[in-house]
Amino acid sequence: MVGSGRTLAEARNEIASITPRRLFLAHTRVLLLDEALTRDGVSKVLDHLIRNREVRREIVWIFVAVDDPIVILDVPAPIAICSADRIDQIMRARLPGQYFPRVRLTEFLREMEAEGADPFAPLIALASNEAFQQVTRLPQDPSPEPLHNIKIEGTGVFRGDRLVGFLNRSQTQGLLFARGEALQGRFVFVEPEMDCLITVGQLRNRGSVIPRLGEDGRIAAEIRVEFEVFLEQIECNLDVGQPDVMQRLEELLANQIREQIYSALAVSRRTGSDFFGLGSAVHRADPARWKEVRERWRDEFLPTIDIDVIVEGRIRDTGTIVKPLEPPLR
Amino acid sequence: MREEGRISSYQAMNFIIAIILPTAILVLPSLTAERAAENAWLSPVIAFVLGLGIAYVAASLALRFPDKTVIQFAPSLLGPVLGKIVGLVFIGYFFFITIVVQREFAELMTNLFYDRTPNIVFVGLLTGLAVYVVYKGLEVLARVNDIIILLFLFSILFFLVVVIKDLRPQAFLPFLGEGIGPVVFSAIPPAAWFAEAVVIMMLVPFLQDKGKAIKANIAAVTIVFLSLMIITVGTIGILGSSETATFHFASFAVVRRIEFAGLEFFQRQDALFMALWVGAMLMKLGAFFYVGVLALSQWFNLRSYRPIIVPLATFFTVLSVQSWDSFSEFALFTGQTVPLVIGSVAYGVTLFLFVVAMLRRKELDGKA
Repeated sequence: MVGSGRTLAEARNEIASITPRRLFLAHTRVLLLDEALTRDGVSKVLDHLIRNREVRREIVWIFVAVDDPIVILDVPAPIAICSADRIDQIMRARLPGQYFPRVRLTEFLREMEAEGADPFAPLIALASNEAFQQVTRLPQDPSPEPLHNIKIEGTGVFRGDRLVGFLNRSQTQGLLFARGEALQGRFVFVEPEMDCLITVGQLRNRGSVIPRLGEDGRIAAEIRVEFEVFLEQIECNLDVGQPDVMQRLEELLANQIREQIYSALAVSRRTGSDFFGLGSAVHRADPARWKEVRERWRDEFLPTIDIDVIVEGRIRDTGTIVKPLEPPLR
Repeated sequence: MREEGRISSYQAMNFIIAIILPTAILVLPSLTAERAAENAWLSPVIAFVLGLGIAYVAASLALRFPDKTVIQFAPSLLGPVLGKIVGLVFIGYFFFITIVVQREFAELMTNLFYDRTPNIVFVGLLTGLAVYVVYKGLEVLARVNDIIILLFLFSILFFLVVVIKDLRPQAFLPFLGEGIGPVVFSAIPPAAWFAEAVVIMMLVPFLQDKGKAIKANIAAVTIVFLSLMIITVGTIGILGSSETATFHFASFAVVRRIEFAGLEFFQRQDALFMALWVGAMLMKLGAFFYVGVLALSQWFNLRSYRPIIVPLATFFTVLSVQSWDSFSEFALFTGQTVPLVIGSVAYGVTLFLFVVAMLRRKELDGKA
């Protein structure tokens, strides 16, 4: 069902002429906001939803839809009973290997309303389904693979309530690490000497933003990240039984995470969207100083202040084997 | 006029809790977060100090006249004319809160749950029940109240248990970013609510163990304070102060978000909280209506307060529905006007009585 109108509330009128049932908004699970709409500002639309007494902002997942949300929601859901339920289950599942932040409407609003912070939301898009085959279907055949799949990947970052930029997969991971929310991801990094790919699974992660306020009024900040991971896959002959090898891997991993965070920071500086919450860290540490800079924060301070990223962590575990597989003769 | 009931000091404590808590937990987080922001939790602390003071003053004042309510002892303290005027002020105070509570109940029900139902339905239902319980007298009111308040306090503990895992400590920083001013300003409404403990002055004559009146009153204010702290800290810690301030009833919004991964059946517990809250609200209305009716009948020296219950209830029902046109108007009124009105009566008049009692101590002791 599709309804349209000048306001979101008016759009519900049109649905009333299609179906004899009243929309029960308490069951709203996902909210897909069209990219054009988010660039224009989301407050005016969200107002209707949070003003409504039925909508439970704490269970609604919010997304920026890069493709037409109507088509995205029409992609058949193979396991779940409807596509919204499928998206909801994906978000709840906390499966490893996700390249998106999990953002509830209430968290989005909290970041939007907070001093010196900006919200962000995962992106949802259409992807072509490689398993799709154009075949004639007989009545007794199992249901066919759909033409499209949905893809939840990357992050849309906001300035106030307007979408101003995107983070790709790697930058999204950087953001998640910095916020201490990278709990379920898998990370691939390169061992340069042997040029091989190493994959680790995430176990624990903590991230915090610490402002550094100088006596002379200078503002700098530090993003501190701790992680704990385990090895999932090694593609070359590295003796991970040796502590010094492991230590080198830990450093390589830390470097990669640092770069991912810097890359996300670059987006933040370019767009003026403070989705790391650097401003709110300053606000918490020194409200008086914050009062002086808050008007100029995004355009003058955020792009120029020094930000150190410090990443520390350890690889806890090599899995059930130590040395990688290697046939004696190749 | 005689009230044949007798209650224990434990019941008096629950009575005072029921009088303060139900409405306070609703609006306190958003009301304090609006100005005090991250430091909203400090406002109840300041209010608590004042509340403790007035609870002690009211109880010890009442104990000077252990067989009389404030309506009865005010004339012997101040002389017939001024005493009767003070009595009238207290009667107005009780009835004023009665009317506000009636409307507050209806507004929450329509705002959060029954958006199409007219206010008069909820005001009428709750008032009907309150009339019944007041007609049954103080003992019945106190016993029902014991049960409901116990459950209600348990539900607040439960609230603490379920929100504590999601609290964000950074929501409480910066500490005093805007100075102490907004915090003190935001303490006015809770301070006015704590001062509702002056109702003890209507209860002391019916206490079986009068010696514990002060203790009971102070215990009640302390329990209310702890409950309010749980609610305020929980709400701000979860929603953040700016979002809390956007709600009318922020604590209910937090109850709504209860969710445990793996316990999917155990969500949306707001119906349970609503049920307990409705019970507590009935007790609050019943309590204020009872002391108001009792006070009025004593003021007129009636033999029984029962005949005036129904006419007054009808009158108040009409007043509570007619007095405010919209929720915005009512919210503004309860946020700004009500605390000043009830605060000035509770603190001002009670302290005035207390000071006079101190000054005339010898004289009175001689009389007794």
